[in-house]
Amino acid sequence: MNSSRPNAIRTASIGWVIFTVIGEVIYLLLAPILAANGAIPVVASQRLADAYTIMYIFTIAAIPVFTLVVTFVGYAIYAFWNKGRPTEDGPAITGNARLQLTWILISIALAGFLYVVGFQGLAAIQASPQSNAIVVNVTGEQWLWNYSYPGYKNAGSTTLMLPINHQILFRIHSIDVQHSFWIPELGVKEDAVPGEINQATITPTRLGTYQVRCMELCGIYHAYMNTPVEVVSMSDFLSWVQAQPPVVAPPSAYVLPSLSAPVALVGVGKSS
Amino acid sequence: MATATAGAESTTTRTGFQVSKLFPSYLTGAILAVVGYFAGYYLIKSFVGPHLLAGTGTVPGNEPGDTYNFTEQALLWGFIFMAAGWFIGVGALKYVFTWLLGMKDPDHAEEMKLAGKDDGWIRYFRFTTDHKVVGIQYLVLVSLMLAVGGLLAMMIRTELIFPGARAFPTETYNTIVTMHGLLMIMATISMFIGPFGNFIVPIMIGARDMAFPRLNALSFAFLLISMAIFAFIPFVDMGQAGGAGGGVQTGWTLYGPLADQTGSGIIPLAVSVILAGVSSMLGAVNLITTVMAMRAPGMTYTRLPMFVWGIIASAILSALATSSFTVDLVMILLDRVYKTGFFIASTGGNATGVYLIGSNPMPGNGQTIPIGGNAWLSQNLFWFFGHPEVYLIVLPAFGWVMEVLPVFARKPLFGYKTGILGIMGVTVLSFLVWMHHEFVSGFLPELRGFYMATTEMISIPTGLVFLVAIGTLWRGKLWMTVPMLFALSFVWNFLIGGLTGVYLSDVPADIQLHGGMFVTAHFHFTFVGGALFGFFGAVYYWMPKMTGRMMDERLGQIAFWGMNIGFNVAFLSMLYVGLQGMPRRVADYDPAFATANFITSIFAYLLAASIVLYFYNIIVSWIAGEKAEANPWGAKTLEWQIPTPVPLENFEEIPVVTSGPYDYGEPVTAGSSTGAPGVQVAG
Repeated sequence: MNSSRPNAIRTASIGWVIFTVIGEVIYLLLAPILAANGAIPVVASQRLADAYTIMYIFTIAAIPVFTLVVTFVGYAIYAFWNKGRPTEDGPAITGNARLQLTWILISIALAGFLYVVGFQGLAAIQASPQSNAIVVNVTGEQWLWNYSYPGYKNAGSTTLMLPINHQILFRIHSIDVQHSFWIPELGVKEDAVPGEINQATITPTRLGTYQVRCMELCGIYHAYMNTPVEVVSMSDFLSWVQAQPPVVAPPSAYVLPSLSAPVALVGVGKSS
Repeated sequence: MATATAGAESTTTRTGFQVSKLFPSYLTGAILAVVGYFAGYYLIKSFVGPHLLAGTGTVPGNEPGDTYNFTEQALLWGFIFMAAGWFIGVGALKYVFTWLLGMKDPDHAEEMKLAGKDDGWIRYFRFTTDHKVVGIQYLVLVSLMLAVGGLLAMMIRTELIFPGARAFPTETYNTIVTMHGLLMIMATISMFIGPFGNFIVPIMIGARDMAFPRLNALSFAFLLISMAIFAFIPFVDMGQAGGAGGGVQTGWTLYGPLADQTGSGIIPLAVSVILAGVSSMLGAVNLITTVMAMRAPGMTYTRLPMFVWGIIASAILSALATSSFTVDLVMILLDRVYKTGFFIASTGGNATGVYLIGSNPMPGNGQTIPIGGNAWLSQNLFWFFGHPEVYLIVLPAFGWVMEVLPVFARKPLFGYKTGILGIMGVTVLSFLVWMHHEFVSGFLPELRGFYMATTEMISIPTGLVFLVAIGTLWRGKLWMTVPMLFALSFVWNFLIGGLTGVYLSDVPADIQLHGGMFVTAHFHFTFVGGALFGFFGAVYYWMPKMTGRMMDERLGQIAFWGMNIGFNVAFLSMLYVGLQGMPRRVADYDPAFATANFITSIFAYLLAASIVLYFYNIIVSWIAGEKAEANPWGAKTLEWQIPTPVPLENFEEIPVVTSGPYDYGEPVTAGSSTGAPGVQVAG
């Protein structure tokens, strides 16, 4: 029976190539349509666009891997299916050193490729904030977000207003339990950890009203810890922020550290 | 294997039930457990609390009026005494005391009595040391845990079928999420090591029992009392809403300080999970020792069946990683009951400014003092356990898949040593990746690149398992039994689980996906579609040996397709809603996510119905299934070479092993018409 399929590997390999091409074509055609119809949040920052590019590249790289396994297993099931209980054994093939070595080398190369792609994005995320970044203090508490703008007489608000095309430096902490500060459309996410100040930078590039979502289970009303974010023009932002009352006493008897000098992103929070 | 000796007919004659056999048994254990609970509870509540600590009951340094929580203290000691009463009641400590008092060591006859010789069915309800009895006990308990955990999952899906949190209030929902997570984790950790590690592995390596039979029985006793205490969670503090509400609001990650703040259900939860962790560590040490020391002559490490390798890797992870979580849980208990504040952050008056986190009133707990703890500590302790733990669950399934593929392809395993490299590579790497759960936590952000690299490296050994699977299937004679179907579905589901994991290993992509439904769907592909379906296949595969009955093929097929269709549609849809941006562990969600959630819930019900059908199949087949022959699958590992039911000490004579576990087929010489180029001739 085995000898009746001398070209099994060639047949399955051709199938693999065909399925890979089909898969890639479907993905490349379908992905932009899905993305434009709600499969991903609206992209309102370059950072998020880069993150989706990485996912896009990963998917293009993943399709051949997926079709490889599925085609070869699928072909084996189709071609070597024995109706009922086999009366004799298959060939005693215990391995193929060249194939095993090739497989290991290719998977190392693939992992290296993933790392190189990811590291580019990581470098941008870990870059130090610009000196003129607008600092926004973000304070998570059960179950709302408080904001203050230390560069603007400590103006305080419970809704977040951001100017477009200007780097924002969020300094995020929590006064009770862990929360996670996420704006899906901007692609910025950083945990709010009690006792620590985490930093994240982002530059919004699209006007609109978005949402802050808490992404870390933080108690009873975690599901409702969502508040609006508005990205507006710089002039609108300035007139809004100057109209906000300053935070005299922070909400629950805490005082944020001095914010006179931007702190390098790396290593923040270890000083305590 | 050719050399296994056919054991003689079982020398044990099972006699009928005698009342004297109830002393000791699980009945006496349960009685003393109840007595212990009340003794512990009232010892604190009525004596230690008011008398010893009266007047000094204020927590040192705390604001006036913040006293020790005597109710929680009483609960804690109630559960500790409950466990102690249980162990005394089942007779687990008898031999500790005989040894301590210098009495005579038990002889072989006494050991056999402890192993349940001539005991009949009552041996399943006693502290029995026979590894096969322990295996069956684990199988039943793990099935019950999976059933309850599945029921909780259905409650979650019912809440999420429409937006609006209509089925349960959010605090109940959070408690359900917590219980589902932890119960499923404990069940899946035990589901291979418990039933099959105990029943099958000693026979596979040619041993008469585990290395430490009493420790083995003890590890099951730990899990049983752990589950009894776990059942208290929803009934403690539920509805009292003392500021933070009842139940346990933390999710299975139990992050402090949320765990310090949540309802009192955390007390039974922490005690229960500590006991389950001890159970898992004891079982792991026992299995490692057994495989190292009890192998039959000729059973070299390179003749070990792959399933044994999977179990050993899992046991190593269990022995090394679980203690970290245990420490975390002890700290949570100390924080709550004795106000230590390991996780209550405070940095009063440092150089950059003053912010007194600790002076924030913790709702429901009254903790108001800066104590100097660290919230990241909880996350690190948890994930240092948490990431090895996911491989702890999956590695036995890897081993099982590689175990049955040769049996049903009638071919040797392709690349046996490559398979071992895959399993052991994952074992080592799994200790180096835990921080990828904290990519957005702010903890040591400069190390994210390193953990991204280690996480991506883990795809290399994992990929080897796929190579072994494809190579073994290739040119085989595939016998499409139900276990074979489950092994093949493992390849499909774990492939999706693995590929979606690649996105999460990448920091920029993970920042967008972290904490969302994409993550939930990803790990369900590995745990459910991979490990749990592997467990169902393993039950089908070893049922004939463990119970002497075949499972029903037709029901098995229907359940298989129902499970896989239900599972795949439900969780692919969940991947989609995760991309859309739905957070995890929310009771309510934006209407934009409604369609995908509806599909997930409907197909989750199909999955649940199929699993119910599968359990029905197990029960019906166990009672009235077709009688199984000793080796229904024609497999070559040792457990199939001895009679069914397996006699008390497995082998009348310890076998001498002369060949590998997968010597199927005729050796192929290079150049023959059937052989692929480069074939290594079987030795």
